[in-house]
Amino acid sequence: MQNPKIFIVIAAYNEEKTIAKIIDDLHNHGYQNIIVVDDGSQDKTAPVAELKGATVLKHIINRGQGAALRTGIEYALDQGADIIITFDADGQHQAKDIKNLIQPIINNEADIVLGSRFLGNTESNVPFWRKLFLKAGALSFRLMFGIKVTDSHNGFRALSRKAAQAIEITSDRMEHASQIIEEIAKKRLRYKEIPVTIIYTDYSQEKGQSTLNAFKIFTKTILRRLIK
Amino acid sequence: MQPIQIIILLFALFALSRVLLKIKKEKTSWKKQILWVFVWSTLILFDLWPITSTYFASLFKVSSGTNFLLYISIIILFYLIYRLYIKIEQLDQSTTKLVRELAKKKR
Repeated sequence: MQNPKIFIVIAAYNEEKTIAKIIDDLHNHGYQNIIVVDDGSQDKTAPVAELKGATVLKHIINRGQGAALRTGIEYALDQGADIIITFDADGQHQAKDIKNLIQPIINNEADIVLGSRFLGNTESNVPFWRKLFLKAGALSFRLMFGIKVTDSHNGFRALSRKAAQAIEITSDRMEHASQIIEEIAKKRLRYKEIPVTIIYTDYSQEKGQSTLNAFKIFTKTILRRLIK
Repeated sequence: MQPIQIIILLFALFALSRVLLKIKKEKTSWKKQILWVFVWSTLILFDLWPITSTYFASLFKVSSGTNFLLYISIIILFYLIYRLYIKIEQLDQSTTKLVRELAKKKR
């Protein structure tokens, strides 16, 4: 694949404090197609992102991260994206990791590449409880879908156009991460994990998932399978 | 007739009349309302002739007619909760779809 059209999709909900720096950073690393899906924020996330030159799609009411990512992915596909990156808005992900993440897609070795904070010598400072739950999640993916991953809920991914078209995210909220894994298994996509650095700051910890939420995600995933 | 039977009878008649009125008004919706016609008429039946519930109770080896009615009510309630859950889930998904289309269109 030569000169692929790369789109970065960021789901943002009340992230006015971090969004500007993230967009600047992405620009500095040479990524121009940045889509920010403002998921019904009450703060200045949308105007700040627009000012920084990102394409902003606005959800008029909050629908959750899964829903926002799907909006961004659909839009990127409409714009002719070859590779779509999903990126967090709270500053946990590093723009410098993107080039490693897209390499397997460019080399046609994978349809979807997942970032892992547990692979290789990354500088991620993962808190103990978080690590425990992420590992439990990874184990349940292996048992339920037969997908072997080291990191279960990493929002940093690269999707080829084919994968983006194949994967259907119907879970609006946080369960979308498990659903993506399920879709990889169901649609028989080639996947690969690449080490990425996740920086836990006080801000990201406060904004991010509480460990208790892991239970909620788990029950939702099970329930969804039951009622289908 | 016990006071409670009168209260239940009046309420069930009121509820049934609502359902029947709705069917009369929207002729197409009678299929959806059948469950409710069934629920309220059964309640009236058991209310007027409590002995019928005792009959069903002994038929299903339940200790008393009241217990039998309670079991059945709980089962129906759970089923209705399940239906509501599905309905809410569907509504949630259509809301998201709508919000998404609006977001893409405004670009």
